[in-house]
Amino acid sequence: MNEDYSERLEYAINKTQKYKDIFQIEAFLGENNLLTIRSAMGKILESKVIQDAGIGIRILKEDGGLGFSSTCDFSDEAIIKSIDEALAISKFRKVDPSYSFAVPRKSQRNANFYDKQLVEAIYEYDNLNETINQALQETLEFHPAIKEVAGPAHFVEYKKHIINSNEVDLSEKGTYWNAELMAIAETSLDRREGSDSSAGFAVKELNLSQMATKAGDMAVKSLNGKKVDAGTYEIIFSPMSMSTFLGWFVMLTNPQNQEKNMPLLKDKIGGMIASERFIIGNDPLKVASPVSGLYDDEGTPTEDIIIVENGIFKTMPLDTFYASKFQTRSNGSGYRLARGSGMTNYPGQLYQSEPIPIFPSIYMEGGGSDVERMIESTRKGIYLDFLHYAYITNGGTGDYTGILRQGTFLIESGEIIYPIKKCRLMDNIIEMAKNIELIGEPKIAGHWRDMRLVPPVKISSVDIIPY
Amino acid sequence: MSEFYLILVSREHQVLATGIKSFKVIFVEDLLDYILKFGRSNEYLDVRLEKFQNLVINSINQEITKAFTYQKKGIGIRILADGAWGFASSQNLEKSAVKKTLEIARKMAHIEADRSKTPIQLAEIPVSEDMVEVPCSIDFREIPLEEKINQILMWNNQINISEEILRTIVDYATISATKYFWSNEGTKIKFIRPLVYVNLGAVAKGNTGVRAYYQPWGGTFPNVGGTGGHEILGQNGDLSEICQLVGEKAIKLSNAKPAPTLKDIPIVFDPAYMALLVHEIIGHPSEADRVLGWEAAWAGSTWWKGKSKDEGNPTKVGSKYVTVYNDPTIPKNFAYMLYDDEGTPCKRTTLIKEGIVTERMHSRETAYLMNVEPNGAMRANTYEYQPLIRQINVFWGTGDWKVEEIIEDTKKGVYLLGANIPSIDDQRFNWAISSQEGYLIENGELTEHLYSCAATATTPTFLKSIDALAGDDQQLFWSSCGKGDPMQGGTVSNGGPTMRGIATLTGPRK
Repeated sequence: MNEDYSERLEYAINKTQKYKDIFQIEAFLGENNLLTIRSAMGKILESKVIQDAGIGIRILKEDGGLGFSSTCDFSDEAIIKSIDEALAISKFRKVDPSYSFAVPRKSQRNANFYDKQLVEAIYEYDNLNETINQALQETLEFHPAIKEVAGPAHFVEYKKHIINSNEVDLSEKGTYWNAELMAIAETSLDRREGSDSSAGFAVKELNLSQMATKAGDMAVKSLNGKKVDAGTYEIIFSPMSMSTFLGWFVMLTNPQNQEKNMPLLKDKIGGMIASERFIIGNDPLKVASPVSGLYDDEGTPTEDIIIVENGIFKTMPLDTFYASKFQTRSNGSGYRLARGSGMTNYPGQLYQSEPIPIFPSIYMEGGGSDVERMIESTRKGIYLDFLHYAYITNGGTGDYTGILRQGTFLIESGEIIYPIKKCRLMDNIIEMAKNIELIGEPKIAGHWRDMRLVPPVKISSVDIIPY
Repeated sequence: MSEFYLILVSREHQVLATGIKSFKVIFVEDLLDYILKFGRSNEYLDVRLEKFQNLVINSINQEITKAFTYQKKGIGIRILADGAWGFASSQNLEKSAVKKTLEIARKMAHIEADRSKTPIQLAEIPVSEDMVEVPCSIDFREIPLEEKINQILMWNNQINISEEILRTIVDYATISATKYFWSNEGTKIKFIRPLVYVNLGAVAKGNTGVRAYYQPWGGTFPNVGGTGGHEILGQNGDLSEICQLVGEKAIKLSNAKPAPTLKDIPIVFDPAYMALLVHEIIGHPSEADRVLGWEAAWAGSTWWKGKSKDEGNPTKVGSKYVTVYNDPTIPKNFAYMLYDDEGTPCKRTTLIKEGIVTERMHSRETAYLMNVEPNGAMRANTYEYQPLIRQINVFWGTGDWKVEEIIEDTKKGVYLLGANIPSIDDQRFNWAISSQEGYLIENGELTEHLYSCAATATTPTFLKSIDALAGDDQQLFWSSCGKGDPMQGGTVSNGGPTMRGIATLTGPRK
């Protein structure tokens, strides 16, 4: 990120102030430098770099009109065109008269998400490339049955700068990495996978050897799986599979989703929606993500937010727009993570998108148990490490399904008996959350940009269908 | 901060970027020439220069909840040096930045080449020089924003047919894209592509609950999205009948009964459900990168590896009613194109013919490995991303039944309409897809209306069970799809006719 585009933000603000009827203006600069190294078949398949920067301009008119437009062209003319388009849109989109862009509020917290060493490594490429290559070799050498290893690694340097006419003027920068390794073990009779993932913001946190060992061990132990009978099981979710579950559960708390195809928890604040053991929250300082910072993408300080406390639905993510709809204030959850509409989201800040309410750094409180005790207390159950392609198939009822893909073991009378073949979970996500029985201690786990701080969890009743 | 900006102008005088401080005019063709001249004689080099102008409008009831435009332009440079790929992209089109981007891509390739034991080779393709401009009879770029907003609010109004409707949902988007693809083999292609799409939905409250009739990622109805102008939408922009139907369906669904669980029963799938089904169980596993295991880490591989004609082993995996094509060249389809992002001419590919697996979808690299001709399946969402193999317009062929005959011929079964959400295993061996709605079929007649229906089956058993396929209602639908690291969203088109096969129906869980 050699260019300094901040002057362009000031240009946008100054230019807009000359228009009539403008109540407030906001300009957001987002910059990303993303390196991806993708491996498969035991080797690095490709390395690639995306360099991106642009400005998003939001205008609020005195009559409540709200408009947004963005451009990656930093020329005067392109910025003026964006202002004009935002103004044109503001004629037709009206918000509550009380609506306002973020006002200056100083974060009372301190944190650093920027690692200069990681930035240098991104620009250097070959050291990261060599580190990943070594991890691939380590995984392959873990056991003779390991035949393949695959996985992506992303390294991103991001920067944002927000200026608005309420005198918000702040910039933050950060770094983030995420890596996944999947080992594939094969015998003449079977082929199974094991995987691990990790994430952080500093390059010194990158421990691929540990991941190689876990992925290799899981793949080998999973060989020669047997078919499981259809039925209701106690399921022990590893932090990785629980992270997937939690991501879907939290989507139901999103007011934007509730208005469209996930109305299940609409107007349910204060209601009991999970086991009383269930405490989840969101805090960018607890869980590094590619948008972590002291402020959200509107300039509101981020907070440690309790989403569900002892099973009771407490808080939904609120940006300034949704906060005004609910006659309250933003809780620092406005992020520019576009989904759909022909846009793609990759790690980092996105200037193309207007802020939307999102919890990007989800955590779940620990409960003092551990996997060993969970297994000992299980009469008929399954240990699950990796839940694949899970979806809420009906956002009105909470129907939930996914594949028990990797690290799946049958438990009987307190002991792991044998690995089982892939099978399908078909249940209800709210009922599952209500049936949480034991909770271990949390660790960072998940996939890609959806890393979370999650403990292993035992759920007492889950329907499983073999195939 | 740079002290000058560029005005990039094509030979047809299309402005790509403008500057004001101090500027100079550069022809797009000159910039592309400038990049390609840095390609060395032993390197393959291609460049994609793209510009987008997008408009997105979301509405709920009579309120515009979100509306924005964005402009984006930039360059993606791919290089094959010493048998390894390197790729880099940038939105900065100054010559110095472009040269630096090329150098990053080259460095990546050299690092990989040092470790690679098997140099990558490409199947040959013809050198093409072409300009493809999609015709647009009702050009949305010329329709004033106010008119579009009024139309969107009117669609909301048309969905809101009674007091039982709690919310109406209309999402509208247009994309204007111009892409140049040049390679140092001599290919020069310009592609001008307008797209429009609409998502219609409703939430209603009835006797059995609050139900949403809304598909988040695709069209439950034909003619609500495609490549072209507003003529794509309904009858020249008239969606009134479809809007009314959305309202009616939401109300009906809120009075429907929960679906029962019925193991291994005949299920009749409507064309909209078929679009998602063919996308998930035929389209993705037919992508050659998946077949070769290159997507194993996250998306997965495929259960029918080694079973195609392309791999020298054409294998029967389904009944005579299983014929599936990929054809990007069908006009108006949502992912229409005549050349892929390697410059390969696109063509109709038969993935399965009467139950026998034939061709895969290929890049030049996978075509070389399987010793077949490339068929034009490489795509990148934008210039930012390295192209990858992905289905474009995969659809099921037609049969010899009429839709009414299939229903009448079903003694006890279920009729599923409209696709909702998929969940598929990593080998595409087992699938579960929920529908928007369902009906019980009893003695050849539709009886109970059902909500929360999902069908699940294993693919090989299901494909063999297909015993009826309509010949009179094949339709294509717009949709979107994600693939790759980093994830690339993409436009796709999928479809088929009404079909019957054996699967398990599941209803709401607990």
